[in-house]
Amino acid sequence: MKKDGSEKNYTHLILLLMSILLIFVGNTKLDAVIKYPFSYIFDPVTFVGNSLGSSVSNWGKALLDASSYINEYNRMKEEIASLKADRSKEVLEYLEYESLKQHTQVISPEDTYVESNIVNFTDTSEVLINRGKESGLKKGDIVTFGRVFLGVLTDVGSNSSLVRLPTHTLSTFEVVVVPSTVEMSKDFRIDSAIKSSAVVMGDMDKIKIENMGINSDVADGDLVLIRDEKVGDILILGNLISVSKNPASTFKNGLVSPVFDYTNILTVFVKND
Amino acid sequence: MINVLILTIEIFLNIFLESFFLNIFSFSIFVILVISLYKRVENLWFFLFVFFTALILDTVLHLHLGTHLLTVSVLLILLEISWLLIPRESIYGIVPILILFVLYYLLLPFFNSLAFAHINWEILRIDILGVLIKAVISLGIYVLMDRVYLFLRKGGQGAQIRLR
Repeated sequence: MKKDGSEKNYTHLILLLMSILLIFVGNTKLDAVIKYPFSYIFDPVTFVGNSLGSSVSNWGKALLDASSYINEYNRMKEEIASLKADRSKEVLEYLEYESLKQHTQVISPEDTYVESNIVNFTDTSEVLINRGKESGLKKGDIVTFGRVFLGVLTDVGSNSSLVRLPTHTLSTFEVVVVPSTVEMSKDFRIDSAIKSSAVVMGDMDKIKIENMGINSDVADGDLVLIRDEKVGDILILGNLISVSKNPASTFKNGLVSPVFDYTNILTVFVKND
Repeated sequence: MINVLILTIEIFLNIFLESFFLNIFSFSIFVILVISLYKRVENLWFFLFVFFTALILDTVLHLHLGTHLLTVSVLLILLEISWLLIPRESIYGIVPILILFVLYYLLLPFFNSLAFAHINWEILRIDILGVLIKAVISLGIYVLMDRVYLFLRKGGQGAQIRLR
């Protein structure tokens, strides 16, 4: 706008008039009509701007409070460790009580046993226990849990021993297969219930069973009992699974599923002759 | 045509930056741009930029229609008056600018309540310290933009920064 040769600027006055007009329009129904297209186009832009702003703001706050977060984290770590320690101690004590109770219910009173805790599981299906020569243990002793066979002591130290589990590749035992319905009572006559005799061999993470009679009626779920002169007693090894059905073969084979997962055991009992 | 494109991009960028900075520091980039660009760009484009950006900000920030425009136009009138006393190029020129930034943060919520016919004088007593901090930050950005503008408009001596 030019007046008398000099440029005059009335933009601010025009804007003022427009703003007053807009305020009046804003009080009518036209308000929504005017706002809708702008809202439709610019709301996503605002949303993105707000989201980015929130992210930057949150990171800024987090950086400013970093020291308090670190303190909080360390305090929580200590608290969690303390709670875990308390809980695991209680769980261990309870499991020991439970295992001792179960064991005393099924063992014969004339035998003596040494209670032992499992210290470590090796990668080669062996277990380290916290009893040794000082507790009267010797190489070849049988490790059980109730009537369940767990392994044989293969190396005995003064205060620790190594147990070879049935899954170990060097573990071989003579076994018999009986129906799963038999009762393992004290006056149990095993000979009347045998379906077949067989041999079990460890295979790292599983137990293979071979040489079961081709004509025997062994089936999945049957009980596999160890009857080996190295062990002495008749002890439970597990249940028969995956029995072969090859008619051309001269014997049946399969796998033995242990009664329980060995890694879940915390306390075991070593039979002391 | 190129001016229309530039205006459109400016508006989009301004809306994005406005919402971004409002979320982080709660200060407005729009008012800085308005005061910084006043009388430095052609009147028509300045008018269009201010009008549409103010309209869009009222929409996306859910204010009464015309609130931003009224606030900005009042500030521009006050700016014109202040330049009669203290020239824009003067070293003291930033004092009225600081006052205008403070007024912007006070007047915007006040005019909004006024437009809705809920006159709330308590709004004027909002966190004064926060408003001052926002105004000082805005002034810092304004000075920076002013320097950049002068640097770019130095015509053929772009390597030099003219300090007044």
